[in-house]
Amino acid sequence: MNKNLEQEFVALLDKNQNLIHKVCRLYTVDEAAHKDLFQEISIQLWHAYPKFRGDSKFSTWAYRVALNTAISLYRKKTREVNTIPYDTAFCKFEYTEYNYQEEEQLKLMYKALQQLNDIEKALVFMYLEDKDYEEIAETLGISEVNARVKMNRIKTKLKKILNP
Amino acid sequence: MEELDLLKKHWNNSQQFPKVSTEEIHKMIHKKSSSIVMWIFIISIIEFLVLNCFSYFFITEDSKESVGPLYRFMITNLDWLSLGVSVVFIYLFYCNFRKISVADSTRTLMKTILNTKKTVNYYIYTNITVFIIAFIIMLIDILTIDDKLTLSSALISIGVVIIICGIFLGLLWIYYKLIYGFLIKKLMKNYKELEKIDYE
Repeated sequence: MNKNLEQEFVALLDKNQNLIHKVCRLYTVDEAAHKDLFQEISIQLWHAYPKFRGDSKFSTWAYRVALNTAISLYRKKTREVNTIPYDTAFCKFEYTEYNYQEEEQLKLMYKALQQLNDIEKALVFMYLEDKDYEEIAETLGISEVNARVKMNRIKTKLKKILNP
Repeated sequence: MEELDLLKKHWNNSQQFPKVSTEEIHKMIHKKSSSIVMWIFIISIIEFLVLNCFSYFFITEDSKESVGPLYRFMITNLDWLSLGVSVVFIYLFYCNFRKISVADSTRTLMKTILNTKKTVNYYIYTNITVFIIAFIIMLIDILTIDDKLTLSSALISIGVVIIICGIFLGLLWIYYKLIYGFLIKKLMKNYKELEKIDYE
């Protein structure tokens, strides 16, 4: 693949890297796995890029590839060394006005999200990204009605996890 | 859902991740993929090669000596049959592999990956069937060619063939359990989960 295409791709990926980070944050539990998945998603995006026709936004195409990689292609590596969990400086929330209670709630929320399965996480991701149910259904390959029903069930499930 | 809405509020603006530089991205995209698809491709190619070599070396021309006409006919034609089967399955495998697109819907992607793997499974099943038929022909050959064969030695021959078949199938079963456990388990689980959403 030519240099110009690579430059163009890297610039787009650089601009949208937070999107990939957010997928990695949801599907991994430590920094090393986060970096692994980030790399695998980047490779998959690059391999698929020549077929990206530009009829949708790069970010829309990229999050679909990223979710598919996390759900269907990524294989966790087994590690013997101790990994660094997320609640260090690697991923953090920065606020204009710091609120300790909110910070704690967000941490608990992320912990609860880890208890969801891969498909449920994908639904939550798209919900948080403010995607409509038509797009959620199309991305996953399910019906719109069922996407809506499943999302409601996930909300109930999260509620139960957070308030046992 | 108060907490999920709270996360949504902070989802786009407040989350800070370490920045990956463009130089790092350049390096990253040229690294080798370790995806399931890549592993399926490598393992499938090895399976094709091993099975092909096995069918060539297992029944050699030397075994044509002192065998009956049925078995002799099988040995002469098994290589051609095996080659034909391999060509058809490698073509089907290649077509399915080319269909895998990471930008498809999640369900379509998982289905095409599983179909690609299924092609290799069918290839293995076909080979097992051919080997079992070969064993049965060999058995018939042993039982019919030798007039002096007693009932006890015939039973021993049948027993030996059944044990060999059993060990072979057992090893194959263990191999598949390991491979599936290692590679496809997560994919199958997610695929079933997705199917469940539409049937619940």
